[in-house]
Amino acid sequence: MAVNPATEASDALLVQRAQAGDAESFRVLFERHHRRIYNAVYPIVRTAADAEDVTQDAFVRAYRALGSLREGQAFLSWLYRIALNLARNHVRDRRASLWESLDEQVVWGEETLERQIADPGPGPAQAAEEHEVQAVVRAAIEELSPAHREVVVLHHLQGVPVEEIARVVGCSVGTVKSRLARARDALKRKLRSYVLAEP
Amino acid sequence: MFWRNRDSARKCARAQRMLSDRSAGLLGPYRERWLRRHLAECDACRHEEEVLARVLMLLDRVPPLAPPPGLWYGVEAKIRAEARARAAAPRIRWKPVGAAAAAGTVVLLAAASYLLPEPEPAVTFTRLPPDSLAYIETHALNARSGPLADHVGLISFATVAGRQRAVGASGW
Repeated sequence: MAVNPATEASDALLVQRAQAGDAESFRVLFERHHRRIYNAVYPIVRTAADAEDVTQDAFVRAYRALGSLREGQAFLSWLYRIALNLARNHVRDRRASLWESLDEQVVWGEETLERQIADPGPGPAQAAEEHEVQAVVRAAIEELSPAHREVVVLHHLQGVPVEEIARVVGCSVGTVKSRLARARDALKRKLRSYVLAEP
Repeated sequence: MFWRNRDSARKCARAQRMLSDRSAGLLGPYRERWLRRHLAECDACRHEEEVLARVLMLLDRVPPLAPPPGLWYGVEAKIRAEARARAAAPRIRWKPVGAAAAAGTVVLLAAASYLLPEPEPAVTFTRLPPDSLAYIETHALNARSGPLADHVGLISFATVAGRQRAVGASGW
């Protein structure tokens, strides 16, 4: 079986080639990293459709700004930074439009009704599925504050080292560790009953 | 009894916070020793240590989500659309525009320096004898070195006095 040499190349080499206009190299970078980016932004934007949009936009932005990536700068950290910024902005914009739409009233025939919001919690069938643990943990992570959620997602779900997270988020290693500690406190409070109920 | 309970609750709260700090690598040797001693004698905090460990294990059990297939096509389409839009937009060649603007500015400044009249000093003197003019000129030039002196005014005085003296000497 023939091996595509582009898929074996390092990020730095692929970035260099993409900067020179090689679209295939950028596609390989996408294949290599889009899962991580999707999983990093999902808990922030909270829906699959939004996570798709933000992931795509992050790569489009990255492609557009490839020229500004300095030699030796890690592509993935840079990409995480772009994606997390986009996800935060996405949530902020959505929150603004959500307030607007919630203020509107629904016209139903001749009646005007207050808008009802569906409960997004998992149904009993879903909770009974094998993925219950994951659903519960993901829900607990999504309830964390944005700063805590970011470090938990990057460190626990993506395996990014603390030093790298500090570069991505733009703060000191001590701050990242501190956020991680407080986030674990919060997760312990949220998941305590679940953990204790487990055999 | 009440005080002892309150003290013990405070120690436990401190220890439980330290458990998370320790898990994040934030605990120094002194606090580490304190925590170990406390855990050795406190069942409740040992239980909390166990709960935290199980929560961290739960986090490891969450696999990454699979993004939907075909995401790349969206990225590719957006990049292509941007490239098309850039190609369709009228291109302004900024280099020649910048050079022309710089040249224009130089020409305007040069023309202004020739065409605009030289500003005249606002001070005029009645005709004075050349001795007085020399005195004013010298005095103005000397006084200008004072820290609170009106430099511009004094130089104007000296210039005008010097000119009038020169004109007077040449038969004005």
